[in-house]
Amino acid sequence: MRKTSVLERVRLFGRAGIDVVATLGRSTLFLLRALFGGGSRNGFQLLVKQLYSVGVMSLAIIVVSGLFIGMVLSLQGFSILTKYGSEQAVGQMVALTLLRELGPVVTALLFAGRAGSALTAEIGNMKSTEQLSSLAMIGVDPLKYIVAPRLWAGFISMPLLAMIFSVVGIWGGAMVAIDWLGVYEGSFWANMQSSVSFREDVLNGVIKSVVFAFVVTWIAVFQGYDCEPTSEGISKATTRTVVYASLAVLGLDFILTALMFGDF
Amino acid sequence: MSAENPYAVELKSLSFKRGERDIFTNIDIRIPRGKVVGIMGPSGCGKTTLLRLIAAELRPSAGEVWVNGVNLPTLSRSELFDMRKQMGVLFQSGALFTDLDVFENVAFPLRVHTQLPEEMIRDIVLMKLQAVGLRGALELMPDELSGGMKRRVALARAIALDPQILMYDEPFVGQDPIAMGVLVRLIRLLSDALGITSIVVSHDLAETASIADYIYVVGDTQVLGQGTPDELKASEDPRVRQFMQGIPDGPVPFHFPAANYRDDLLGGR
Repeated sequence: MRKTSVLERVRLFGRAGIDVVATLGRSTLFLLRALFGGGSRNGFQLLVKQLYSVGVMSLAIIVVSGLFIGMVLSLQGFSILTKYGSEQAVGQMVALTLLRELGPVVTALLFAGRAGSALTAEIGNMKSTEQLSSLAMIGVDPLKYIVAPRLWAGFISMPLLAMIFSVVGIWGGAMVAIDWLGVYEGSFWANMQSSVSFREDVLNGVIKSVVFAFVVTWIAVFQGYDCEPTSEGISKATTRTVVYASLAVLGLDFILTALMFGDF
Repeated sequence: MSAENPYAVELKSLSFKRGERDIFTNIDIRIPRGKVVGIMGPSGCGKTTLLRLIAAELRPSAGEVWVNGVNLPTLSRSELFDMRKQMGVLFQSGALFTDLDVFENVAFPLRVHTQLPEEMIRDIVLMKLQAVGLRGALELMPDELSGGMKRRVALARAIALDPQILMYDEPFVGQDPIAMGVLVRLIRLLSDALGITSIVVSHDLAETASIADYIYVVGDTQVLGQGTPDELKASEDPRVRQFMQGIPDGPVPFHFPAANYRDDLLGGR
């Protein structure tokens, strides 16, 4: 194999830096143009279609995952809390964990895997089969017609999916705690009601899921639009969507949690 | 503005680079209004790139691209999309929208750019599909069509809005002899009957020469020759003669630039 000189390494490092900055610039311009470039005539119809394929089609995985995670939380919480004689607090533990953390975070991770990868592959495939060029040549801006409805659909549907995830999770947790483990129903719900604050917990969870929705959908549509229009290019872009979106969600979750709940 | 200008498209001192590689160096091309003009040249010489430059899908490294009296690289994004309503492009793959059936593909430009009632859209779509011989296929999805049929549907879609300039990227590839004959006549007819300016990018010499009023031969980053098909056939320029007569090697190299063949073969030892 050819040896790389020090100068060559510095050059490659510089080139990689320039590429990263250029990609950030392109993706920002892309986002601004798609969001503020004006709507298309049948924009509402396109949005509804995307809300269906991005949001409604993700419902099954969100509901099933939410249910199991709620049930597991309840089981784990019960076994730990019983040691301290506080098993009546399992309701508040399940609710707070879901509303503050697992609802927004797991929904975003699942959304990146199901809808995000599909968005990237779909737009990448449109690019490789020249459908985007074809649209542009008909005088229709692909950013308005293809990208904008998908972005808005992601922004709208993910926070709703996160709420559904938390609700189903709490229901699953209640089922296990009350019907199976024998926690008194009154104290399960009463503890939850008294400890969950709308502003601190519910609203902060929603804010988190709005931020995640923005980042995950942006990454997904940009990776599709910017990919190499080949089979390998689409495959790499789809992988990048899942990896970048997951890392971004986990990193942002730490920052948001520190800002919302950190006492400093 | 556009009616006074005898040229629908003018490329002035145009250069284009892909990375470090020159695709075109300072070329001038003029496409007369209402004529069929062939852009010919060996594979990989940048014919499709030239179409994409005319359609302003690519920006030139230097030079001007005038279409209907407007220098396209100076336009804003929205002005460019408006301008493109005057053009139609038939892509090599057809580039049909895979989630729409044949009827909806052809109706698409009419739905997004006009307020025509549904009955009129239906009539126009049927007329365009009849012209390409695929009226009976209006309910089929793109994945149910052959490559040649896809391109004919794409042609029907490209002429749906009756553009002033129509660009064809290798329209004859993959067509059976009957469809080829129809296509050749259709391109000529669109130009003669509707005054559409047609730019045909192709390396099919016989078909292009049979319909083109004027031909540009491009290669080696330059315009190698230009003229009517008869002028080009009679050309003494060795580069043009090589292409027109299909001689494998000559002043226009068949091989992509490479190191010495012998050195390359022995280099690993």
